[in-house]
Amino acid sequence: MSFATLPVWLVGLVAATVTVGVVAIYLLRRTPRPQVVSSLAFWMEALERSRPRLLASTRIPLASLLVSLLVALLLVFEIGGPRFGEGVRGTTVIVVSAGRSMATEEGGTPRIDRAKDEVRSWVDRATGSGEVAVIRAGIRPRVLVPLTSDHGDLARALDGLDLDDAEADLDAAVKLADDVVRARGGVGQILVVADTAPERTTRAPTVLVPVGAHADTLAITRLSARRDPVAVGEYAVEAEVCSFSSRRARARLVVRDRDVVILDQAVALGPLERSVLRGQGFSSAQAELTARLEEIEIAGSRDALAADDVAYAVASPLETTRVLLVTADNPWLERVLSAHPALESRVARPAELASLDPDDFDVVLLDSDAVPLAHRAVLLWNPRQGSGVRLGETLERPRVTATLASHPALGGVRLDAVRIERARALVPAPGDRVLVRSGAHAIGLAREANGHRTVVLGFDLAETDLVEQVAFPLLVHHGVRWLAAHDRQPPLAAEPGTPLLAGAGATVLGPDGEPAELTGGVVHDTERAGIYHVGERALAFDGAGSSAALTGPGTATARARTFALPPLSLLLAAGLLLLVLAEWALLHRGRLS
Amino acid sequence: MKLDPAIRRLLDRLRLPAAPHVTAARQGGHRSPVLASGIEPADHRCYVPGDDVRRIDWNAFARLRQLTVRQFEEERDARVYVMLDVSGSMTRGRPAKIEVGRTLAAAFGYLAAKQFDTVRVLPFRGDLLGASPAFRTRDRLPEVERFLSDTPAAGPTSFSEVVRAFARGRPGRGLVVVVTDLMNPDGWEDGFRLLGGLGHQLLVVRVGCDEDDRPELRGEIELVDAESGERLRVRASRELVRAYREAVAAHLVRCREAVVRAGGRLLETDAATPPERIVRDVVGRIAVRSAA
Repeated sequence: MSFATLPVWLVGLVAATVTVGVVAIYLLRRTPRPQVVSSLAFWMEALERSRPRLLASTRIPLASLLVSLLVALLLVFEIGGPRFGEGVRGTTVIVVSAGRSMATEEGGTPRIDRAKDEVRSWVDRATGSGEVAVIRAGIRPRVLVPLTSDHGDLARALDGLDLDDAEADLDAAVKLADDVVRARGGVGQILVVADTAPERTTRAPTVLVPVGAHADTLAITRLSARRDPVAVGEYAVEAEVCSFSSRRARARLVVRDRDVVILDQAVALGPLERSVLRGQGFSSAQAELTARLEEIEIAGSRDALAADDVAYAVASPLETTRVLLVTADNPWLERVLSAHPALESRVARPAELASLDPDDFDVVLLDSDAVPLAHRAVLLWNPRQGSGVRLGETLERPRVTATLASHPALGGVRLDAVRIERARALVPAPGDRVLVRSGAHAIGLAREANGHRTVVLGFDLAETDLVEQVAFPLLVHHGVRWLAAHDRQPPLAAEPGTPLLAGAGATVLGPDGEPAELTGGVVHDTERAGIYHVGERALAFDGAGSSAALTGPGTATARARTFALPPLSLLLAAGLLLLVLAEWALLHRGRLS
Repeated sequence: MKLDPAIRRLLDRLRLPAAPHVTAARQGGHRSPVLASGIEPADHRCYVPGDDVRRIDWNAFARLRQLTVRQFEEERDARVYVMLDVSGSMTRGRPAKIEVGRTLAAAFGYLAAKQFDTVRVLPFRGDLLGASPAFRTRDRLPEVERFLSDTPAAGPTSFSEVVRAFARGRPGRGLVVVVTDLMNPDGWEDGFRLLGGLGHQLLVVRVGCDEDDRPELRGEIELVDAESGERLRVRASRELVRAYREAVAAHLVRCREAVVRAGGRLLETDAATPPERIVRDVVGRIAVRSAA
């Protein structure tokens, strides 16, 4: 509340009411209660004998009345936030929060409906004497109604106000409102109708009209899916469910890949608890995942917000890597490559290399003594001179002393127990990462430069027992995966409101299946959470990460923003209370007995 | 009001002594200052002409050869005047002081009638409000009890005027029991002095209450006089209440001194005390245990 929005006569009425109240209380406590006594004579004698005290002076209660009146009026004005010279006669810019939390239902009514009612009542007051604009504070602020004094425009705009599926950027909206007021000139104010308090300070006076209070909700706070690097075709789903309630709650989490249920599990949560649920899906195609909380039960309460009960994610399709193996005769590599269903391999003899175009392949494997080949992804075994890697001395029976297992090309594979008969020491160039080391010598390294990736291992597969170990296929697969640059997972989901880069001429379908509007190959209107389709590619826009407890602006922070100087208000209130108590104790004690 | 049976049983065991100088002429239970006809031998003296020859102790004459006359203690009745304050101040207290006063008046009447003394109950305010019929036997007590019940408490007190009116009636000397709260600063000392001067034996029973003696008033108060209806607005502070208590205490001291100077006794009791205990405390302190 602020007096800045009230007409002068109403401010006067409030002050008069408070004054009447204080005076009434004063008169009430000053009205003596009758007490019948046996004889007045002794009291009169006592009056003559007792010395008058300072506090018995009749001026003291009168002074107390005046101070009480002063403090009460100061308190009212402080709470009311009076701003003299500024009011509804000027420009009023109304900022209405359109964030996801405004869908919270309290007593069967969504916060947004209550916000609309508040705005309508302010518009009724403000349009009579000034212009009003309405800014929709969604993911991005938007002027819903430019400055107008037409009541009808405002009413129509409010009727069409909908919500975004993510948190509102209230500060940006308030800044926009401040700019509008400043551009208009003259007196003006900003009215924020929201369930959170803005943090931004403005030049124009800001009045917060709070809507909403604390409410219980169960929410999906995270949903992720990724391909299993080992189990080909499988993907793992992980969902986090959180209870934003002080009561016990339970629900059923159902995760579907389109229409196929891949996870259906009950979850029970204590107050403010989180639970992570995991599931497994199998599909080589792109997985479009929708997680939904169903059958939600909160003890003694209800789930106030439905928007945070659903989340979206996408798992990328299984991608086939084309591999060219150039070898004279290496049955181990041939078998390893053919065993992996995600690899499409072609074996070529060095003599056949001229008839092939290496660019048709994602990765090239060059076995011992193969002709060096320029390619963006090469795995070299036992390189020879001129292969692009400087070679050092020949090492007899080198012992593997260190393995950089954390490198994605190795993917956790350790070669410490591998026996090697003979190896060539490799001289790393600047930027090279040594993968396998034998004492001071490098016998394996990874290079990434100018968009090219190379893995070099300085020993012949015929002179090692590596091929007999389980680590061998893993080493090859991880190496191929890194070389093919498939180690980077595509982003799982984007925040609603994030621009979608689709490319010119692309066809983009929104979550509802309707074509989205492209502007220069970019879709800006992504405020709806769900799965968007760009051609065959699916992209998830999910607001689960912004799920949070549903609090109203009645919190301490919000109050701090609502009242300009809370400490002074509190001091005044405390002062008034102490004054009344002191006066009562000193002058009127015993009146209730 | 009706005297409680328990109180009657208590009173049956007690006897109200009256000073010899306030006894009356009729045969009663009190010793008279006059040696005359009676049954208790008191002394012998020499015969003088005119003495009743029936009182000559012939046995003594046989031994002493001198005429002597036997003397006996005369036992007479006493007059008991129970003066009950029925002013407005007696309506205060919980229970009202007037209730305690009526009980005490009836108790004294019962006790006196039990020993065949002549009892009259005299309610008073600013003046005497008449008197109950004089009675000497307990069977008249219900009549007195009705008289007491029919006399409401209201109006101001003026004890000196009451005593003057009492004296104008030329009552015989007797025991005057004044039951009052003494909650009026004027008239009491004169009244007591006058009663003493008339030769009455004086007994004052003061019925107090917390409201009179230990008031706990604070804040803005309009005091209303229970007798006159006058009003006084005060801010009752601790100092004022203390001064009030001192004023009342000083007044009671003055009254006690006046009673003592008149040859009487002043007893105090509290209205909040149970009636049976009041009677035991007050009457028991002045009465003696009955021989019967």
